[in-house]
Amino acid sequence: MAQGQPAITPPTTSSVAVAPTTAAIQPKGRGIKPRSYIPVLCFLGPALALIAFFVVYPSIKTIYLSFYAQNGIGYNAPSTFTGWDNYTGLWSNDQIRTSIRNNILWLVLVTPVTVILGVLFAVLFDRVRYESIPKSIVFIPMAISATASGVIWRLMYADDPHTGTVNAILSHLPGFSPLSFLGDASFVNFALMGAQIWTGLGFAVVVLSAALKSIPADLTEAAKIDGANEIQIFSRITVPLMWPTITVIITLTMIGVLKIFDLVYTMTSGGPAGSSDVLALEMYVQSFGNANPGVGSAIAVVLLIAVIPIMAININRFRTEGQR
Amino acid sequence: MSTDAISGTREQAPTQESVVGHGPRWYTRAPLHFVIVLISAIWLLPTITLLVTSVRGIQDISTSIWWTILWKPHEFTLTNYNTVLHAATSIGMGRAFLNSLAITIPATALPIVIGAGAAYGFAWLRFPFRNTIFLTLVGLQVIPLQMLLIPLLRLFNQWGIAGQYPSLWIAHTAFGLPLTIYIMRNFMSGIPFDLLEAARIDGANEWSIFTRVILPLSTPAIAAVAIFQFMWVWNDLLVALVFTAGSDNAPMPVVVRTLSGAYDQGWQLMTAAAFISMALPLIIFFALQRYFVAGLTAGSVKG
Repeated sequence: MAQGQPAITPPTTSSVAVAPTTAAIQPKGRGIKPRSYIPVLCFLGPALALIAFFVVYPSIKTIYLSFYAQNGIGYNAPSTFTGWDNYTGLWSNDQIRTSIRNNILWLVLVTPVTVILGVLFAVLFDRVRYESIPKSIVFIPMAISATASGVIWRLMYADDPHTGTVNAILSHLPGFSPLSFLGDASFVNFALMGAQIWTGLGFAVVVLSAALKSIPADLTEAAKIDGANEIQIFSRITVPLMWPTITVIITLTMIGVLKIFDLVYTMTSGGPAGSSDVLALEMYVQSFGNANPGVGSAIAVVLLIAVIPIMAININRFRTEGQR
Repeated sequence: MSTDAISGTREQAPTQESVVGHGPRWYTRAPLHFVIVLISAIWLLPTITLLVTSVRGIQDISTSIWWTILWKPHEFTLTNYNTVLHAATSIGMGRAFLNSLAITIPATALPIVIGAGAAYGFAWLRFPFRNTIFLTLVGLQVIPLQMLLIPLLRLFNQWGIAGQYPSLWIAHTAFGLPLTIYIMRNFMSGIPFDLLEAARIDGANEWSIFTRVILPLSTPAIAAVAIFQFMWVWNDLLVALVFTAGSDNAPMPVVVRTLSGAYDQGWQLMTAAAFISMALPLIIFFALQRYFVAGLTAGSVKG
């Protein structure tokens, strides 16, 4: 697990607290040698069977389906093998191209903003005694479903300045007039991203704040005595020591953003005129709205392939930390 | 490492003020306090907007901004909640709330019960390919939900359970298991081997070691996993939409989304419905903040 990540720690017999155990690999000989393999089967069988049948098998089936086109509606409709057509079709479909473009926009904007605000908030909150209060406040949206969060932000962005908080404030400011945040193709994506950052930032702040606290105070004190200023301490000590945790936040944000669905579906359903569409939403629409399971499966596979390298960074880190 | 992630404080290190002796006075730190108060206000504002709007009548919502209620407290009404709980959509939020409970409780308990046994197996029982299977399981977390939906819907249609609670129990249990096992195994493998050996010498078999030693000591991990799985299922929209849309068994997110969707029935109902769906998680958050944060942080890698 990440350095400094708030972790649940197992009990110990000694009074010395052990680090959160994250050893991804159990040494070969460690553990109880069961008298027979029957208990092993009883303990592991149900879980492995469920995963094999309801996770692994459907995934393989989806890859298979992505090479077929369905003729007609309903899951019994005949289908024909079409090779890579569903994949090449993704590029020639304007709506899906817009979705891909939007997902990339989300990746390059939401990820850095989340990390920068996360570090900034963590460092600011760290300097006051009542730190737990702002941290809780920023964390509250984590308890709210993306669907409810979508309703909240539709209300915040409502066009009518008698209803929407943002436009109510804008209409009171000199030189500003109410904007149609969700109805204008040039704003809608940024408006959605704002809602997402509000929803997800609390997680980044809490995790980064825990990493910040794990930096030994001796280091910053020593740097201060050597005459380093605040900015030098921040850039030469704080950020490098928090880097492993920052990587976690980057990868998790990227994965979350690639699969963003609930918020967009609740707030705009991809509109206006498809301008805020994203891949996960297009996957849902193609598979269950347009009866195009082949195309939907191809999008699911594209999402999987996009997530693999990001997840690999994470898993690799778990493993190297475990071997320490 | 403290489990108290929110209020966790640095243990060593005296604060800057006490080292210097005469620390910065409050007024030199005023800008810092101001910024923090501002951030907190901005982060609270959306939730307050929702809450206040949900207790105002439709007429008030479209003619004056929500903070008008500060000087016109007689605007307060619970009519919206009454309407939305009973019959604003094909199924009211009252039924949807019960659906959410009926879906979430088994879909939280099952992966924990099934996953705890598997986690114990991976942590402490020796068998061939233990690490290979475990690492495969870790790798499975990469699979997005979207990879499962179409084949599972077909399967559930064939079995005739699409649109019913068991379809969601199965989907959430299977999809939640890899991470549940991963977190619990990592925790259990940190339990000292001496404890297991002592139990073994006292004649305990694998089952009683699991129930009498491992499970009681794993409470923190179980609590964390329970909270993240509960939150995941309670707040899930996608799986519920695919398997229960249009049925009487749809949980709250589906109904909230219907209210805010094509049949735009107005802010007063949408906001009341959204707040009902948030109430339980918010109560858990305020009541069990430490476990809540630990749970959501531990489960954050879920895809």
